[in-house]
Amino acid sequence: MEKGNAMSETVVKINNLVKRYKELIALDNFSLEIKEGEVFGLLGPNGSGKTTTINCLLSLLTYDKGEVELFGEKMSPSRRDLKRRIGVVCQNVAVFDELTVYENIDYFCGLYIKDKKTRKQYVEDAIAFVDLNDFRKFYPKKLSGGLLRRLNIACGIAHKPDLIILDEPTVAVDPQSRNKILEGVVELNQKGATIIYTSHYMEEVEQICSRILIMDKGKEIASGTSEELKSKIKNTENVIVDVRRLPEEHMDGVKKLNHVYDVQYMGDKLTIKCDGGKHNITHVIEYFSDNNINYDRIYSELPTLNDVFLEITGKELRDKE
Amino acid sequence: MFGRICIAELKRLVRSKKYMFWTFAFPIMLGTLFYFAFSTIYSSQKSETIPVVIEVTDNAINEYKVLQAFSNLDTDQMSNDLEQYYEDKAVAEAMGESFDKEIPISDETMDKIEDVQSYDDMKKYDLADFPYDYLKVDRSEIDNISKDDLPFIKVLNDLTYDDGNKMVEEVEGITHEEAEKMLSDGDIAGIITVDSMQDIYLLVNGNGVKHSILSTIISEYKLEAGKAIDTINDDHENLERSSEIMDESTESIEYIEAKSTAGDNKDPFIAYFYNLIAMIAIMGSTASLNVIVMSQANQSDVGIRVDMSPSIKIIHELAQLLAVVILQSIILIFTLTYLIFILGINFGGNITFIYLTTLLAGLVGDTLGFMIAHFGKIAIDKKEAFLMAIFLGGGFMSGLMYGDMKIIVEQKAPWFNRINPSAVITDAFYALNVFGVGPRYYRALMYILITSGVMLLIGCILSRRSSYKSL
Repeated sequence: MEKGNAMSETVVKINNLVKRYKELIALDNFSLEIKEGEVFGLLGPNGSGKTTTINCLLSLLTYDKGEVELFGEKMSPSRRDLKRRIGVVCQNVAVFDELTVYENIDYFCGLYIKDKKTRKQYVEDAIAFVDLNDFRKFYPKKLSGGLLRRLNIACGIAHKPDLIILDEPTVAVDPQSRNKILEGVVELNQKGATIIYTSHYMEEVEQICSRILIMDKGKEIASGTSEELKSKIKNTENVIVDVRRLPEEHMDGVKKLNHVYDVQYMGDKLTIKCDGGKHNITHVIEYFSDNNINYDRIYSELPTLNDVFLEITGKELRDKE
Repeated sequence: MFGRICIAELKRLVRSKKYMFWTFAFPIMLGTLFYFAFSTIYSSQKSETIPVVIEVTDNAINEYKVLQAFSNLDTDQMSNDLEQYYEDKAVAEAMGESFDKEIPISDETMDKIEDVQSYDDMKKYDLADFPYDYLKVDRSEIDNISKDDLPFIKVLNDLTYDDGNKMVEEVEGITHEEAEKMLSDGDIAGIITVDSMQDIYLLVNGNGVKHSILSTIISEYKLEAGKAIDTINDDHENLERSSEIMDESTESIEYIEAKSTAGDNKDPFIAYFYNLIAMIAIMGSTASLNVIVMSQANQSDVGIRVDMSPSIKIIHELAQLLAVVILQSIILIFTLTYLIFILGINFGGNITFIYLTTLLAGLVGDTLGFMIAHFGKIAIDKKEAFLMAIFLGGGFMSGLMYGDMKIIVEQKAPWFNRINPSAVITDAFYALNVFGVGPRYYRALMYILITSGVMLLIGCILSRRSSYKSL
């Protein structure tokens, strides 16, 4: 990996980016800054502007206002020197159906690496990295969804870029392949690459990202580490009780418990939101015992990024699947 | 990088079953089908003299009489005599003498002659008021003009097959009613009515080789006669040369005979094989379209990868186009070789030029697809539909489905035949087939190269766009 100059500590800098599609404002004075070595999570619901941000960043899309800098220099379509340092894993699998796994990786790596010997080594490294050695002569149509995603990643990172952009790389992938992909992302970061990871899967982002930006309607909603984001909201703990046919008066009773600020009852599941305090679950158990209410299960959960998003915007981060 | 991309695209195309079927297997199958279908029909009918009834109207004979009269009018002598007359009259008046010499041409006749400014004016001229005294030939040569003197009838009578058989034989001395009965009984192949130099009609009963030959002869004659009339109209002074110009156009129609005696292409079905080659050539456009959209970020996901890479886009695309051109050329050469050497179809004597024309025709198709691929953010299936419309619409306008269409377009909007890819290709084959290797053929090749060059240039200019408004 190439080392940056004095200014390159900031790998990506976006200032007040505005992108309109006719009447629709896709990016509304959007700004962000990513430091070298970060795994930066760009989180938001579908249509929030994540992919538009990436495409503006890469100069694939024109924008109405704002500035984009990569590695401390202004990005433009003609900046081949900057493009050379970027690797992109697109949201949709972007490979040639008529070329084998090896040929596909070699084709895309060849767009960056001219030296045949170096390229051959890089292609071998990429195949090993995504564990597709047994499938190198396979055509994409013969690969499963998970293997196809891994090929997609290999095509994007084979040239060993300094900045890797992964745009929803785990969509429609089985859990096993998803874990493999996430481990791979962490490994790439450990090898020195700066990562931008966009997703609407909050668990993934929480798992691998050192810093997260939540966006909606083209704007930043909140940013920081996972803990910083969670500390910004009122919710500190969710107590969940699996209980059948809970009478309405007990909803009010639970709500009057200390530190409880909201109660939701949906599908035999009672979610009790608490804002601080200790032993909240004990207080709930005591209430149920005192009132002879039978329940199947009771447990406590820490707030998620979805709770952060929900509390700030009043809607779910992720569509119900 | 150029060579590597070109090789990768070649691999992609060869491995694409859809592409290989439609551009390789399908034309071979269609060519074989044509061969068996047409060879059976044609072999049973070739060298057979076609019996026809020819009806020539008084209007047509009168038009040719006027044409000959004006062509043989001694206008210089006429002017001199008139000048002398007015000079003598002026002298007599000055001397106070009486002047009773008769004017050589009346003012009225002179006005009428001066009103003739075009071929149409000439056609309408009434010979009853013509200054016959100033004819360079004997008046009887004009008065005795008959049906057999008409250029079209001469052409028809001169046509022969390879073996010397007459191509068309007139059945004479029968009435129109009798001719209609003979036509319905199949005793004659058609009734040809000549109403003027350009208005020639063919009445047939059914379809077949004989009817195709008659139709082709008439179409070609009308085309050449139309060109002659255009030349006459271009310059008022050409009116005096109208007969000569018309004869020149008649000579150019001798190709029908020339080809027959030279053993060239008298086969009316060969046009189908030329059209087959043109079809494969234009179908190459779908290959270049499908290949090029793979480097357009607003067209495909792979295009995003290519567009955001540091590779130079235009070089990338030209490498892709070269792959299509190479493969398309191989397919065209193979198909042509199969038709000529396996099926034994006679494409005429200029095999080298047939191959050259075929290869250049391939360029038209390839560059057409290259250009369309750059036409904005339109889905590829819509672009393919657009190509199909160009192929079918252009094919129709170039006469692939209705022979006379080519003549109509040439007369009404000749520029369209210069920009219509199908017309450009078929015209090159037509020129080679009809006129051989010569200026006309080279002009057709030039149109092919210019058309391809313009489409390539437009594609390259559009390819320079580096960012998109939307993806």
